[in-house]
Amino acid sequence: MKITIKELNDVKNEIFNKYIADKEKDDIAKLVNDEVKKILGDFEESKDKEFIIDE
Amino acid sequence: MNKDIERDLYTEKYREKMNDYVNNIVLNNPLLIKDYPILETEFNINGTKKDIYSLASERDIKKMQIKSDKNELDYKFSQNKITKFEYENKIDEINDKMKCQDLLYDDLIFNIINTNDIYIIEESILKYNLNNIDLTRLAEAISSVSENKIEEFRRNNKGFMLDKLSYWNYKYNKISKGISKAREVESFIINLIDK
Repeated sequence: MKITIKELNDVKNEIFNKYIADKEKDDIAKLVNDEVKKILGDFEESKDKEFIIDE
Repeated sequence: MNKDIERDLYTEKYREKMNDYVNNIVLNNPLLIKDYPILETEFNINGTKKDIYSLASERDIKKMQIKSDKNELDYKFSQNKITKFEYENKIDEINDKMKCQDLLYDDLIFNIINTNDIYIIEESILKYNLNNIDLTRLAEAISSVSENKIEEFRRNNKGFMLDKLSYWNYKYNKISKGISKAREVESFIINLIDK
């Protein structure tokens, strides 16, 4: 039997959806959104400090 | 900032959170492993996560099983019990299975290294009181995981636009941290080997 990363992740998804209430999922989504915004903010900051190739 | 990057990051972070939750759910409901046998790859029957040595040994055992399947096929083909077409198809299937298995175990082992403190990983190895042969095999397994992960990163991040440089750096830093920890674990194991 072939087992793939995707199949394992799909099963975990199924378990997660079964056991975690919608309200909690919303909270998790909000937390993740905030984390992603912070990382993207850091990208924007570091853009100013990135190297410039001399012509 | 590119919407693709935002989506990638969101998926990555959400999956990390989801994995944490699922780890706890399985720990508190180990019978889930019976309902979802695929979980046996990652979890022990008591719901705890498999440690690095368990994963590496299992990978070795499964590799040997696949080699044995290949040998059996070779024998059948040599005895004309299967056609060349059947033989080649089966070999392709087996190779595909091996590839998926390797990717999965690389992922699981790398995840253990990434998400645990070094001393926890070291303790999990020490408890087995491994002999030199097993220690050498384990060090080689971890080295192989590191190399595969570096190769995977190179393959998946070959071309990038200059405006995605920050994102590339973010991914590179993340993988570097994991590789660095893996090298530390490898050194620890090598130092355990009696000279």
